[in-house]
Amino acid sequence: MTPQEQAKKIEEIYNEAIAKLDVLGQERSNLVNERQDAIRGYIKDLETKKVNAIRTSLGLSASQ
Amino acid sequence: MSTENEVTKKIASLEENNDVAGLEEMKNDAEVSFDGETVGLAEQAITRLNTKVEEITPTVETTESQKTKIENLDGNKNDLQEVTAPVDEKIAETDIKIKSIETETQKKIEAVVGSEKKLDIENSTEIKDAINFLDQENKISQDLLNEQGFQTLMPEARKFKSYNEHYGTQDKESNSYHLEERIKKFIQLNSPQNESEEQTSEKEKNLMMAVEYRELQDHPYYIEQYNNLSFKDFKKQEPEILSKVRFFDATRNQESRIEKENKEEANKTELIKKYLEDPQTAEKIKSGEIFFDSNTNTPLILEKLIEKGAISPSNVAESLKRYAEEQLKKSKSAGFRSSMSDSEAIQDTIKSQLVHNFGDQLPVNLVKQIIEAGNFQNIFYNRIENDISRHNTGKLYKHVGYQSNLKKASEFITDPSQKQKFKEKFGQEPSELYISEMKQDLENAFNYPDTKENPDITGTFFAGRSFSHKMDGYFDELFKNQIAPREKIMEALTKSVEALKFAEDRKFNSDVPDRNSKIREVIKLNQDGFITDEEKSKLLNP
Repeated sequence: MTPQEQAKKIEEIYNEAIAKLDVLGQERSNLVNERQDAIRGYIKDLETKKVNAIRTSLGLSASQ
Repeated sequence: MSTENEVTKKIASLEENNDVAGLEEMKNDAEVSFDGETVGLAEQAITRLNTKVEEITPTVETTESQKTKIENLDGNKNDLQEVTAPVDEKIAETDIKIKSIETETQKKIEAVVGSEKKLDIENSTEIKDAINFLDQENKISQDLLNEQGFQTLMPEARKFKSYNEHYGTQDKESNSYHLEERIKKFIQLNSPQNESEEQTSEKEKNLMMAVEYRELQDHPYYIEQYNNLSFKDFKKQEPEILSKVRFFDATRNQESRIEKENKEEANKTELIKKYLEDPQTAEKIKSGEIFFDSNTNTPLILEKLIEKGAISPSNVAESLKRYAEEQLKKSKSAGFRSSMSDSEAIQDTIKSQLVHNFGDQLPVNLVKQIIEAGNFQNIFYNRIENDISRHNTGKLYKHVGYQSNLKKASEFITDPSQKQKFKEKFGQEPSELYISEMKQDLENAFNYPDTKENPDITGTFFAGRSFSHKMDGYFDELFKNQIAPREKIMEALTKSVEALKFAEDRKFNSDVPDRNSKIREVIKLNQDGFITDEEKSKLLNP
């Protein structure tokens, strides 16, 4: 292979890999967002529980 | 880098003046500069690739503010872990895919840069022979690759194919890539300098097709559909023919695989039936005459016979011992030499049967009954002790600064003062078994490409592998059957996970799938109630 052909081949391999990495990177980024949503949901649940506990201790009905 | 045209012009001018020295100098310069630039380009590409991977795989963490918030709301770390575990697992899987692309690409790029060298090596042998042959025939500069010249070319085309099989990898894509490269090189070396790029390219294409044509002469589908097709006609229809042949192969492979599996399954069922119907089977098992038949499902037969009351767990345990003894005799007579003593080898076979064969197929309580009947508890316990000790041995090698080569390693292992150090640290001298197994581990270590470049990777990892490569379900069985004290099993499990983390950190690619499956195993152990949430969390986030 001539150096020019080598360079071209390297470029091809590199571009192909970057394209695949872009797709996987996006997938991963979505998963990280999903994780953040899960944590936020968990915190929200805790907040609701805590608010309800306070309300109950004050003799008020629990909020939904 | 000069452009191709400039180079060609300069060559032409030097040739015109018969300037051999100038040509030689130019050739040398060109080699140095081209090689250097291409290598540099490859390095740049790899660096950019690594940066990209780093960018898209930032550490995933729960932020400090989220942690504080959860703490203030009386939340629990373990519950949070439960919430994030499924998505964490998916992220881990994606990361593995990303890493594998990174490694594969790196290898491919390196192969491009290294391909010139590889081709030169090959060129020095068979390709040179091929060139000589074709030169003698004075065919290559003629229109050799037309139909008339085809017969002459075929032995050479066949040779290309055999290089490909010999030097190529198992990967089909990369095989054909290497084949193409070899053909290109071959044609380049045998083409006159004034030949146009189009002419050279046409020759390359023809030779590639000639190789395909030759290969297809033995192909059943091709024979049926295209028998006696001339090379000239083959060239016209090549893409279509290849596509049909490939489709035929894919279908045939799948059909024959399914057929084979069905046949095996039918044989197995037949054998099980035969064993269960034969009134002598139970007696034969008791006497040890038959115990394990690799063609059938022994555990299932045993289970059925125990259910019927024809044999007891104790009969199975006795039979298992006899089987292990028999296996040892067979290995010895076949000339296999083991690093284990006879009794260790027997114990190892029993353990392996109980964990990997019976453990997968028999109900747990039955496995437990067999273990108790055969007094096999110690076998498991000893084996775990052995593995832990090997792991510690590995750590010790690192501890004393052993970082050199295999020769030093062997000296180290047998050095009495090192044995004494080991004893001081661990309360016992390393046994012959540990020493011989460590030697094996170290030999493996030094055959590992990463290790050659990073000699500080020592026995720690390789001793840890004694756990990491246990099949799925190994720890599950240990816990279920309470085969060893719980803390020993936990210690072994922790080391197993550590070893795989070690592998992952160092990008030992072949171990990454094991790490992934180990993560699943830990999650399952927690779900099955064998390990606590806290233990799970500690194992997954050391």
